[in-house]
Amino acid sequence: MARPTPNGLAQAFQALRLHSSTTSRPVTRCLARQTRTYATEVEGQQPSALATEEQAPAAPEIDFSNFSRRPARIVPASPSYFSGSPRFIDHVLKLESLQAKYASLPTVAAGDAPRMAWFKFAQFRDYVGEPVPMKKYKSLVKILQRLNRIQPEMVPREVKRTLKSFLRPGNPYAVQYVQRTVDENGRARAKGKRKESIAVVQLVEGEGEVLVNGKSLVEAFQRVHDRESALWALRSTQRLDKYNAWITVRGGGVTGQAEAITLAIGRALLMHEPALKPVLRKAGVISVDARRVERKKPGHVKARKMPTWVKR
Amino acid sequence: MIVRKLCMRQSRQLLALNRRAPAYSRFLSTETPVETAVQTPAKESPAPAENPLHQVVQASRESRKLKPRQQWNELEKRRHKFNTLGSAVQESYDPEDILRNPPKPSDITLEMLLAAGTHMGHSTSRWNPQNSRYIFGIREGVHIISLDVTAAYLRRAAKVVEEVAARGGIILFAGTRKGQKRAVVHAAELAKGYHIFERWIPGSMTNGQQILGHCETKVVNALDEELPEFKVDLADRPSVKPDLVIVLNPLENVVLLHECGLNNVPTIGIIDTDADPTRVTYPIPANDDTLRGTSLIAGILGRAGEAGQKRRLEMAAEGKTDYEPITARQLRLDPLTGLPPPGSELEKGQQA
Amino acid sequence: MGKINLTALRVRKTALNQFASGKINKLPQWVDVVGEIPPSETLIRTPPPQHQLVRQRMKTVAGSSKPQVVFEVQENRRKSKKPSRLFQPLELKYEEDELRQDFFRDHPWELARPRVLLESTGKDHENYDWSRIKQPGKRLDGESVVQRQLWLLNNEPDMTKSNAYDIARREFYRLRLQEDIERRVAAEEAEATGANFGPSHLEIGMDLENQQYEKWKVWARTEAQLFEQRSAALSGAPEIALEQQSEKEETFTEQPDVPV
Repeated sequence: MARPTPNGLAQAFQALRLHSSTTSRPVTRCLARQTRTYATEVEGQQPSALATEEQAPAAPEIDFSNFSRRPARIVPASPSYFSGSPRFIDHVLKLESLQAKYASLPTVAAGDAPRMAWFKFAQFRDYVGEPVPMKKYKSLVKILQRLNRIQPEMVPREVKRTLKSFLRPGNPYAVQYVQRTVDENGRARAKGKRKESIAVVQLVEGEGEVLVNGKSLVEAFQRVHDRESALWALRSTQRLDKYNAWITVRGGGVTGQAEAITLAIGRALLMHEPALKPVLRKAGVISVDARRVERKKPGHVKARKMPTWVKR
Repeated sequence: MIVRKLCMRQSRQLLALNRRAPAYSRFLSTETPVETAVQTPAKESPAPAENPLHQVVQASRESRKLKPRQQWNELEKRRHKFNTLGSAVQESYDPEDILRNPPKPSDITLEMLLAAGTHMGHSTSRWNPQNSRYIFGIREGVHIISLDVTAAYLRRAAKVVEEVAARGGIILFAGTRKGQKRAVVHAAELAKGYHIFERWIPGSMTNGQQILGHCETKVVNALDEELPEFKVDLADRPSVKPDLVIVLNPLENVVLLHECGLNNVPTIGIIDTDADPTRVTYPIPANDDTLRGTSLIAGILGRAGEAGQKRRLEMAAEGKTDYEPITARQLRLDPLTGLPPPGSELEKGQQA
Repeated sequence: MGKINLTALRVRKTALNQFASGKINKLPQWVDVVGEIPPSETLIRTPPPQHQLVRQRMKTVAGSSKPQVVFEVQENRRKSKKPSRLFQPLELKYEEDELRQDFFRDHPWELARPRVLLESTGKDHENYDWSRIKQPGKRLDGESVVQRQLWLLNNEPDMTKSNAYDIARREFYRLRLQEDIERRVAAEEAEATGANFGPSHLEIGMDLENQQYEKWKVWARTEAQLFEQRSAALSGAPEIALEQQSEKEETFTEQPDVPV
């Protein structure tokens, strides 16, 4: 009995995928094989030959009298078969030969080369279908980058085509970053995050009124310190009485919410007055604090704390 | 200063303490540090109209400037022109030559082997006494390999490669040392063989189904054309095993040679004075540390394989083969049991 | 079989045995190839090639008018005659080795000159004719002297080693001098036509040395000052120290006035 090993099945499917243009015969045969392999217990009740023929109509007979139609050998498809990752090695060799061929073409500095989004590691593994280690993938990317550095006007068509096949679908670098500005009603809308809190601020020119979730600042924050830090962007630039803020904040605790508001107000203020950037940067208002709670690990009491050692 | 150095030595965290903290001044004071006036960005007024002549001048300048491709072509032309100047260098050594255009086995001369440095063995203290018959003498504490023996063994190995190629055998070139990659790949290309220039994965032969199972194989006819209609018969087949393995550095590929022994595959290897000659079927006593030497030997064997493949294809063009080809019936049989798959036409024919 | 692993050498036999016992149902394609071209007998020990030091000389013999070629053979002495040493390779010795050793002992700086070790075809010796010391395609160096001396020893009648050495050496010196002059003239010509060679190695070296010396002078001055201050502080009140110093200076300046 032929045991259906995963590799065998994989290869059969690969064959189907790669040769979808072949006659219907291989497909039907493959299906027949599958039914055979999975129904080993009910072998006695095999469907009659007629039934199978109905399912899979007989393919046109191969003419074996013709010498060139006769099989002779089973050989590996790629010369790097024995390396265990033939597709990857073939890609590398092809790229290296391209690099050697066009080594004399003028290049531009790495920063001036067009920005390309190569396959991410996992995507590349899917693409070649082989467990390629990270280090080897990095060496391949290095060759790609060297080829990409050829002067853009002089890139040969061959190189262009090859490089294109290593790009991940979609073009992440096509998205243009749009500078947000104050809207037609004079409102600047900005978001800020700190710990688990998210604050959204609408800032308009006004007399210094602040509403946090519909409450006044004093109601929202009990501590003076929190109130100070929430409005620090305005206070440090002496704009407390020049803007009105309408704030929605959710998630996290009091400190987190206060500091999320700081960041949001800082950003909103920047939309009104871009020239304040150095001042706000120095005041520490528009620097994002990306620290989050560290996850707990198994075997630890908290993120890093170990259970106390007990003798016996 | 001493305290600072102590910090540096003791820990990074202490060092980090020394750094200025990020601006937390707002937590410490209620005073406003700066005084600035409200300023709104002034709307950009359209730039004043430029001198109309400026554009004309700019355009003419642009047209005179060569495009990069033209520039490069000019440069190449100039380079070619200057390359022909000066004295013509004859018989110069070009390291690429052995890689690009390796000699044939019939061209082997002792001078060629000598120039490639294949005669240099290892220090006398590192020798393997089984190599004593390949050693010519001792010079400056180093064993010198006898070049006539090298040439004879190399010719013999080349003959083996040629014959195996002519019989449609699968030839594997292995050279896993740094720098042997190109020689190995080119030799395999010439001999229509297979190559390994990175680590041999242990078990590729003894546990082939697991390690090479996902790699593709194909059924070819005697003219080396692929027959896609047999693609489905290849599933569940054991992985392909080489018929001849050529190792450029047997010392580092002990596992490969061991697996060849277990699978009964003949091997050819470059045996330096410190290697064990019984590890391979056909030793080639030579220096395995010189890249020039190993590329030369790999190239010669590649050329031999090329001749064998040519012979095989010529025979196939006449409709003959020097080997027993696999039949369609054998392909359809179960590779493990040798029985036809149940419910197939083959089985019916057998029962009848 | 004990230490020696013969699997690789016995591939064909194993394949035939496996086929006979039915382990494999088809003989591999290489079986007849390995049968036709069998692997060599790796394990047989052969006596190592014997190397003798052969000296070729031309000697005038009393009877004949023409000088005759005489070969003096010197047997290589074995270190030991133990059977275990019987199959060990022997030292390779050539006559040039002594000549080379002599020359480079007398001219050690010849070893410092750059040398081409790479051989393009291995047939360079075919172009050389050592009846003269200068060879096309080879730069003049110590090896030229050695080869020329050997040629003289081999081909000149009644030549002694020291005589040959003197002749070869003299030719070598003359050509070296000529090379030097040629180089100097070429440099002068080039300078006359506007070439600028920049500072020589020696000048660069001297400059670097000068820089270091200037640095040292600055350092030494500060050190001396520091030392003086320290000694003054140690010896007590600065005034006394200063006085002592001035006294010393006086005595120092007065010394020349002392009549001899």
